[in-house]
Amino acid sequence: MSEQVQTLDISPVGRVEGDLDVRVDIKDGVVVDAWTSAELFRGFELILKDKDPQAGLVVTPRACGICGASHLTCAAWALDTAWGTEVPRNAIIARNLGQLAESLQSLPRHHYGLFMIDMVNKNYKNSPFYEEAVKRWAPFTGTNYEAGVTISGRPVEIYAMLGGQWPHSSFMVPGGVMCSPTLTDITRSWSILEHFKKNWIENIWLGCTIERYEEIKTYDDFMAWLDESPKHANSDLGMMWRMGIDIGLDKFGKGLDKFVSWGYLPHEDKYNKPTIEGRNSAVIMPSGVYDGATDTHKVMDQSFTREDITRSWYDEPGTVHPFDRATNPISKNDRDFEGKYTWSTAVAHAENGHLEAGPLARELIYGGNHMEDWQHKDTLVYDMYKKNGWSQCSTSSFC
Amino acid sequence: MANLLWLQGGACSGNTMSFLNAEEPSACDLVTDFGINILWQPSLGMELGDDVKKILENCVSGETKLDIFVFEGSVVNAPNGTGEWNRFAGRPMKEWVKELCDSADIVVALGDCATWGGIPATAPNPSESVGLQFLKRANGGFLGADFVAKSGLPVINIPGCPAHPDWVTQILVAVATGNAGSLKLDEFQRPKTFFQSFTQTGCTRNMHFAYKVSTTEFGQRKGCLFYDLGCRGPMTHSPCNRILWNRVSSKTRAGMPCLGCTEPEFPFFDLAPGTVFKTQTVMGVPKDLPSGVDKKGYIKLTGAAKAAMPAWAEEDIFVI
Ligand code: SF4
Ligand code: SF4
Repeated sequence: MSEQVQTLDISPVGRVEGDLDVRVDIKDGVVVDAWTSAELFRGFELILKDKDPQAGLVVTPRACGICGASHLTCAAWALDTAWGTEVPRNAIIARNLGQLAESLQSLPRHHYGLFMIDMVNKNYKNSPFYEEAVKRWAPFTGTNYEAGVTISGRPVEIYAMLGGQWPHSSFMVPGGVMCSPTLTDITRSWSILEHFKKNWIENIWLGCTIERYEEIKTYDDFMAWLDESPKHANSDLGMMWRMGIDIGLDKFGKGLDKFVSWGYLPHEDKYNKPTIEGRNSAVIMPSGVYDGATDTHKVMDQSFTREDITRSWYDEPGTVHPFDRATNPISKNDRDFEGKYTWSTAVAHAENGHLEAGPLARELIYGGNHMEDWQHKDTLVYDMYKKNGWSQCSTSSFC
Repeated sequence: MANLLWLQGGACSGNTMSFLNAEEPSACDLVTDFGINILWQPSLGMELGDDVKKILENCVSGETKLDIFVFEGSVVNAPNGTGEWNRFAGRPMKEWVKELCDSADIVVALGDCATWGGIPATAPNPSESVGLQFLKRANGGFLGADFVAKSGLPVINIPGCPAHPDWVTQILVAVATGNAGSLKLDEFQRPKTFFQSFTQTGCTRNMHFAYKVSTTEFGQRKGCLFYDLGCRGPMTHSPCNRILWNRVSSKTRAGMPCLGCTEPEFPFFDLAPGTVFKTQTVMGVPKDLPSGVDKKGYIKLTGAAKAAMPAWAEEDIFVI
């Protein structure tokens, strides 16, 4: 085998929000180093400067068309915090409903539209699952691709009933929401959830009831569930997992092994007059930092947050608290892999260094014991991650 | 069969996400029932890296016939007109856009960023963004006022932040089935079938508008959002209350003022302090009046409306 390092530039990498390029160094068929370059700068921070305080409700959701509700929640939360607002209980519930409707939309859209279409790549044609995968998941024509992509539009109808449209509503405002739902909105929303559950989650995705699925608490429980019935094994989740193992997704994708989440979903009785320091004790889904090397969880304290700008095209000092950012783009943005090579900045912690955020991080954090007893706890992914060692590919896609 | 290529510049993917909400026809129906062959799409395409480059090069060289080029997002010119702040497939996106627009039969600008510059072009426009053939109200944009695609049509502008999926799918079907010629465009190159009527057309608050009954605070179960909360429904061309959003509602039905997102000035007043969700007035009269109504007419109209207002109009109407 050759000892030589081969460098591969991939431009563009598709199916991510924003333009992304990746460079990898490959040695003996294994990626030994990688650089990701975010290749788009719009400067939302600069656009918002000196504008109406409520401009954030219009502009920040438009940072991303996929997760606008998260941005809107944060924008409204920032104003609630600045102005020490009281928010009616029902308004908090309406905001959370909007946020969750957006997340539900993401499940089938991400899996079919963005992720599982890679499993029908002809490189996997020797897998015993391949033929079935093509039948189900081939873009546009696969049976479950079509069903999944089409049904992904249903949950956000709930968002539209609350906010008028998805994506890009601004219905969450400091002190509450703009809407005042009626019997029609509530009944239709409920019924949409039932439809989504019956026609996708239970019959296509899981092959069982949600109640049965929720009994799964550990990796062993999950494997036992797979074996319990061909319906489980042949559901899209079952098949995605089994095919993932067959094509080796559990063998690669090592990350930093250190994770962070701010937590989310304000608790309807604990949110009022929010403060920066009190954020974690106001959310249903707990915040946290998980360090895999020492297997420890702790609450995420914002004062330790750092943004690492060393590799990013900004004329600013290396590592700062986000409050101290200025957003000074440098105009000559050549890709210098020893220096600066991307518009994105890296998430860091004053004590723990660089951290990974995202769905896997959130799930790992729910596996800890650091949260309040009324906060969400769920050990499945945490157990799965530990039992599967450091590999993240299959566990990540599972999240 | 019509070949379609879709790229994103200074974009948020919102128009793609909106497009995926489509039903009748759905995104999949376009492919299976209406003969649209999607060569590549940023959120849906299988190919990566050099394979994408090859698809683009084949479109530019004419080896693949490019029937429809859809562009979402602004054209980024920063820094200093080079476009290096938005690179794609190895070079500034704007260079691809120029070549692809010149090769395409039909060019569709999708969403406000691609039509007029949108949010990225809001002052101070850090990315030097422009729309394909407009910057805000000014004709020209990236391609120039004289640009026409191979079909002879200028850029078809489908504005909105985002555009409604039906506005997109219906135009794509019209184009793919050879009916582009029957589309009538307005002075901003928007298909009149969608953008001749107003956002207010079909709004559930029209009776309150007529009697000048105001929603003075968010969440009230009555009233019209024009008088206090800055609704732009009477001045905005869109079918939001005819072709409902996500099949079920619209901003103004849900209680959110229309931001006028299908018009070139969006976001209005560059979001200056005091302008967001607040009707701008001079001596109690709105600065922006319903399209075509002058100040004298407005004062007469609202005077008569107030005088005629029935008692029920001040009571809750959208009740639980
Ligand atoms: S809420 Fe807006 S769109 Fe509806 S009637 Fe009033 S001004 Fe018109
Ligand atoms: S209601 Fe107004 S702001 Fe909302 S989508 Fe329609 S035109 Fe745009």
